[in-house]
Amino acid sequence: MASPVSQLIINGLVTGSIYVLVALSLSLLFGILGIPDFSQGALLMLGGFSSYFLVTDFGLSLFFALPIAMVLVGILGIVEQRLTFGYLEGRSEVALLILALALFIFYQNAAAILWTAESKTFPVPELLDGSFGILGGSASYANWLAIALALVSVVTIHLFTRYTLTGTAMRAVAQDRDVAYLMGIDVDRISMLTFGVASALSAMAGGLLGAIYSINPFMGTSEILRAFVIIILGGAGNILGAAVGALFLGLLESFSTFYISSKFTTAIVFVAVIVILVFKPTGLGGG
Amino acid sequence: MSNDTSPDASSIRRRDVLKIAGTTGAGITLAGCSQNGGGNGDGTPTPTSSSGNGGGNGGGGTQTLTIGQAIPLTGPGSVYGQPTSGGVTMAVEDVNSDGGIEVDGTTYELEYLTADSKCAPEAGRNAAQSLISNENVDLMFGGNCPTANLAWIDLVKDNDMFIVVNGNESIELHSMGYDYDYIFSPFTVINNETFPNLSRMYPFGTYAVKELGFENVAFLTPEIQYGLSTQDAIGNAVENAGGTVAGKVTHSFGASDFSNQIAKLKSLDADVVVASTFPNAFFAFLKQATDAGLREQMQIVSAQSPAEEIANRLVSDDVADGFLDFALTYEPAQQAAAAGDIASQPANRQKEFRSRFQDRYSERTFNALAVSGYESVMLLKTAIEKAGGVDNDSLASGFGSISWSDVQDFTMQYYVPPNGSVSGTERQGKIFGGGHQAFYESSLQKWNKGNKEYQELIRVGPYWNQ
Repeated sequence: MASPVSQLIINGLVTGSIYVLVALSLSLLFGILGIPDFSQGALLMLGGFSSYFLVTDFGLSLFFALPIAMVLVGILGIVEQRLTFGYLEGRSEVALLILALALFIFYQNAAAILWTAESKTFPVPELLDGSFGILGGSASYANWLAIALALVSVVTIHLFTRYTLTGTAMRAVAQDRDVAYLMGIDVDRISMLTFGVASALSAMAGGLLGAIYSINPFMGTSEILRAFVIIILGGAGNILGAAVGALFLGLLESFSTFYISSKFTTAIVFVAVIVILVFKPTGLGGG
Repeated sequence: MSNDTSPDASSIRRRDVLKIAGTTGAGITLAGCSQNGGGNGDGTPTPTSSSGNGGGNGGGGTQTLTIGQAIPLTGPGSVYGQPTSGGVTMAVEDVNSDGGIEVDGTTYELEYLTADSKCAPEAGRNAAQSLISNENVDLMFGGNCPTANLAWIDLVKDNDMFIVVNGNESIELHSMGYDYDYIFSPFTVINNETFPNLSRMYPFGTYAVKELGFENVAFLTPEIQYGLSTQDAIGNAVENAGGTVAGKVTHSFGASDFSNQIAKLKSLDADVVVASTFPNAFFAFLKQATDAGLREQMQIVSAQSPAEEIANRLVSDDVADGFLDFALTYEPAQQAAAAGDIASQPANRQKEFRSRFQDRYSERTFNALAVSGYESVMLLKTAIEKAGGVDNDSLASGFGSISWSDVQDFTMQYYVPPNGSVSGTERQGKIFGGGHQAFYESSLQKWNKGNKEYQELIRVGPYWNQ
């Protein structure tokens, strides 16, 4: 029997890729704006449902539905910022957390009432039908797409924040919001943009999860909780650190499920976080 | 934020880490509470149908008998709670429109109040408390969610009330040896596998080895107690029948990603995997197993009833093709009735009820819980009429004496052999025996080609505890 290691690595990369997208979203919001936005887990769910309705009701291919869903949820994220978070930015972290949780619960239960609590699936394009193997492991084309999109997102966000004017402005706001304002940076615009981009990333994760597995109103909960763990591991605001942390977590879950049991996966993940923080409090990616 | 290792503004200080960790911990706790509905719990009862005033026992005239049910109406558990409450509501309306329940000159009209348990212990207890203390319901129905139900069942006992438990929690209650005289809790249901009594799982293992020829059996179940016990029950049967248990794999409750479990199953030397899990999870696993090539290595068997509507939505026909299912669901029930293997009247009534339910509740999924909810009320009516009273002792006596002849005109799910074993066509005797064990005749069915084909009715008797 062939070693399962290759398969476990691929499984871990797929899981990690979804985590990467959510972690990027949270890293942007927490790193730049200092907002622990739990509601991104619900926006992930709304991204999944948007993709679902665009595919099933409007007959669009996932290749079109996914970007449209990202735009729609991105706009929702901006609206969310303008109507709620915008009033609390820079203020009490507890208030921000409670707001985020409230939105999270609201979105989930609204979705359950509107669309029932049952899981739903939607068809993937023929191009994604089938699987591809490498070095003894295999994954569906949809899974490979998730890995590719996660990689592209990491590179894009990294380059954007590092080499563009707007990205530099984002980093300035992250360092010191007030000074950035004094330097003439439109902090409100940066805030809106950050919410938009972060929400779009969450929506992408939701659409991919729907394509690979299924959607339901309560999806996104475990992903957002893991995203918080990841940004601790990777260092809040550190894009590459978040990516490394996400992949590490995906691989850890994959191997622990196989060699130990799924019962202990969550416990193993959090023990790993504790151990890492004890020896490296700034996280894997921190300075 | 930064993408490099510059130490100054981008570094995170230790207290920032602690702040983040504390915030995260609070967030996780609160999010967990919100998912489980804890803390506030929606104890506000919702009148689902009502008629008359007051409640009570005897006295002549018309009185109201109020049934309370703390049931998951929102959240993930609502897929169970909504069909159940729909079934109970329809039954209450049918009983009332037929003139209610006549006992010794008193006509009882039924009233049904629900409160949302969210399938969570704290919310469930608050909901039940509200129904019992604020709404003063006359009796309770179980809430189809063991986690919540077990948190409030003592309230029933403390308030000396009668409770009808016709759902999943009956398994836990019987496992616990719950000691209370005023409880009616049948722990197996014929012709649908929604509430599998673990001892009934035993025949699956025996049949798989002796009749289907599988020698090395692997398992996939949720990692909750139900799943682990199922693995043990069927695994014991497999080994006693001469087979071997190749491995036991679990998944987290509510999981949708089975890639790691599939990798584990592939590493086992098994010729079949028995997946006893919830329908949504089973079909997600089936699709991923198909994509991953697991089905080229081993047969997949479902030991729990996946409803056709879920199958149709979650997987395509070609994915649903070829797996085996030890369960009898609606369409196969019709086919089995047409073939003369089981009585036709219950199957026909079920079909008609399904149509009524779907017309009435187009937004809810119709499943066995709707049937069970409906029949709980009909059994209650039968028990009251047989015993001639609505007090606890009468209800206990009434339920205990229900026989096949009492239910044959309305049941959609009970098939009673005369002595609890495989029978011929004559059905007599009590429908519920000692410990409320419901007798059944033909609860195992093998069907293939997804949900489209009925293959064979498997009678339980020969494979029971061999």
